[in-house]
Amino acid sequence: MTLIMSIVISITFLIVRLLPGDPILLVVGDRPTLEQIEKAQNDYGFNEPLHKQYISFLKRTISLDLGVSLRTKQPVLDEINKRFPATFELVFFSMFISIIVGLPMGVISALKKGEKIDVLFRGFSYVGLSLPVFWLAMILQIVFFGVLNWFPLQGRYSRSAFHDDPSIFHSGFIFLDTFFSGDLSSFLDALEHIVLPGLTMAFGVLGLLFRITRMTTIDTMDAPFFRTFKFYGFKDREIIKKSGYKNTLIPISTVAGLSFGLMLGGTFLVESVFDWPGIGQFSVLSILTRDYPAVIGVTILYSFIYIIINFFIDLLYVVVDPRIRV
Amino acid sequence: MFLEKMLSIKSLSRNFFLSLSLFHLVCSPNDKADDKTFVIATYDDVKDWDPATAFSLELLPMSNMYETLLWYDSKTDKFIPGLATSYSTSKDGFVWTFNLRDDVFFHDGTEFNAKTVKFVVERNKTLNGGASYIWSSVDKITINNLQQITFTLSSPVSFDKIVSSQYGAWMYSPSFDTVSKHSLNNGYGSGTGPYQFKKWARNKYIQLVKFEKYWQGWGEKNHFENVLIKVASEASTRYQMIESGLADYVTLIPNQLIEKLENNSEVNVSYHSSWTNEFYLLNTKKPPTDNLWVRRAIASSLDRNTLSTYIYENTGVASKGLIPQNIPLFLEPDSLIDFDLDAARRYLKKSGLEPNSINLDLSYVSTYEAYRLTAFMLLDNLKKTGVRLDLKPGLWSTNWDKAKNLDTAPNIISMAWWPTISSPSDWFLSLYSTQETPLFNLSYYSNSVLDSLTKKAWYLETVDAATAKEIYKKVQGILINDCVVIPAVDVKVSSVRKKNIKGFSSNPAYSTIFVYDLSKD
Repeated sequence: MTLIMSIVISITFLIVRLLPGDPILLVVGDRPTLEQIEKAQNDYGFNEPLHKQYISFLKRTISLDLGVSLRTKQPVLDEINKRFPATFELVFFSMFISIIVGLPMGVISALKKGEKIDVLFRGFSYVGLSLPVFWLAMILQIVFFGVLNWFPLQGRYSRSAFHDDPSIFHSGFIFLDTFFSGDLSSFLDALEHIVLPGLTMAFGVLGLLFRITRMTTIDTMDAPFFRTFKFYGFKDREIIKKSGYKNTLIPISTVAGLSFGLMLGGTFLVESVFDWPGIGQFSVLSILTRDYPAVIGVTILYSFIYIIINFFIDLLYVVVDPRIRV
Repeated sequence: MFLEKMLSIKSLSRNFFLSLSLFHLVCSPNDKADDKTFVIATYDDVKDWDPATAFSLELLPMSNMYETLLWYDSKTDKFIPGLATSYSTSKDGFVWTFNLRDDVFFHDGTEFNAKTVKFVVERNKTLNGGASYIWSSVDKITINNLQQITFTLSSPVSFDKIVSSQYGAWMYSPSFDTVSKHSLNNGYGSGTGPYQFKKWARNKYIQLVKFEKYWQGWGEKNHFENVLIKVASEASTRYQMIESGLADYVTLIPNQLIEKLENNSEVNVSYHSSWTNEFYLLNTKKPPTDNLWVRRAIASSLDRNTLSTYIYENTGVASKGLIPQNIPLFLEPDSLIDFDLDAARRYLKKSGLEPNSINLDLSYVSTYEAYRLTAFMLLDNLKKTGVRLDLKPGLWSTNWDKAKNLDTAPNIISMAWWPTISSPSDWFLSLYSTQETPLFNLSYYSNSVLDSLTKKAWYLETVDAATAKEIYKKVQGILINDCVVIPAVDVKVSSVRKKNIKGFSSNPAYSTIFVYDLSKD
């Protein structure tokens, strides 16, 4: 893990620092004087040779000092701490929706292969996979905010909900904070705000989970054990419910886990449209503006998450497939 | 059976909409703007809470929290008393004395007086960030008494323009000397303005509330008591915010969406002149644009009128000079190089170069649609003369960094400029004066006559404005003759606000909204 992280950090540092464009311009603003540029270069050590900058950067990173974002002027660690919960909740919510809708859809589609409902679900999954996220986000805004006024347009919560009560909102995880403080109205307010961005993100992954579930279920239904069960008079649904579903768990958990990681890093468009104060928007803007301390900070975060997710997927294999335990 | 029933198409769609409706019933969407709160939706957040160094979008909250000694009124071309009630200057323009307003307090309760003015100017100079360079001519500050202060300058600049600048001239409390970096990072403010800082939810909103002890008072006018500046990075979201009444004012709405809002009876859209202009600098040191005739051929290939009519529409007018036509001391130059492809071909002949041997490159800001379209128009027109143009889109920071090094600099670069100080000198000193290490003089132009004329005009602005005006015209003439720049458009800014907002007026000297002047019907 340490080796992978070191390689990722080093490559990111080199790429960001060797790209054309001077990151110091972010610090000094649009209209700096030459003195201001020189002062900033001194302050940030940008006038040092690259290898020296790299060594001091590594030293700081090891002590978990990720530096200050050149763009927002805030410590990168603070930015990550404040934004990650928002993205995590959004992705978790989307994943939850994708799983509870996509998995049953996939099983039903497999059971009803070739029937109308199968065609409908497959069509739905194609739409989900092919619709551009930003387009879907705007359509949902127009319909559910502009026309029906059912859900809020943007943001993570109503200003009034947490306005003067920081004691409620302290961990960054709104749902946890409001749930454990017993503040139902704020909980519902947060839920109301997450619906549209959550649905937008869920739509694509739902299609993916649906297809993998359908495919593995159909494969299972072709397996010899399945035909044996059928020979004994069991219905398809009963076989899937009692035993067949186990065969689908490994590919589904792999795809679900990797999708979770992918979604954590791919929230930019949704966060932009819905003004969701998460890490996705922060990452992309940091890359675009060459805010290299921030880019490295989020790269470390994403690498760490991917490693952890893969670790959990491996653990999950052991749980769902007894053969691996041996 | 039950499962099958549940999952029939009809039942699925019914259950979906039923769930949404039920959810809608338990939740009550949205915090709409109340009558006492003015809600602004803007595209990005504040980065710097220090009024000494803030030099970007901070203008929006800060212009409602802080005040300057004087304000410049572009309509009357006069200075209006701010925290100074009156001022005078010596005949030579070196000594400026300001009489300060009595009974003015900062939001933290500290009294405003000459000592605080001295503190602000000295601190700004020490920090040397943002627009603090505007104070560089201040040599000596003398406190005559608590209500009067005298500045002695090292050069006879228009100091009234400096103290009324939209950046770097805000008066703030001495508490900034002791406030921790942590507090500043988390939002802080203490000025004398009508609204004081209350809360900053990073990347979400800034909340300002009325300052009860504001020196102009709250009188009988139906002023807003709160200002809420919401960050909505997507234009479509800001569009929906104004359309639905979630915001009273929105910034940066693209043209296509503005056209829709113009038909909305609840929304008021107006266009106002600004002091921003857009132009294309030509590199005078790099071949083949080091050749005057090649530069002239390029200038003859830009169709300014088509540009303003079809690309910018309501948001820009064809430039009449090298600085915006509505800025004080502007005089139209005798002529600009107009669009004429035959003339371009003639200039190319005079250059002594074969048109098909001329390869040019143009770097422009890729995130701005108008630049992209202009670049393609220029490419197409130059192609008709046989000249090849390579387009190099990029972020401004990257374009600028490359342009500062002659080896990587493009032949043509798109630029926009707006002044920190309301003077034509802001353009000429920054963009065309000789710079050993180029900063904004990206045409690498150097002309000692122009350098001295520009300085002379800047020094004469106070004592002999008429002569200064003539000199600025002459300076434009030199630059046009040497074809250092191709002027494109003077930008017009759109103001999109709710129809029931009263009291709005535009002043190009300040790219902001003064909420204190507004009220709701």
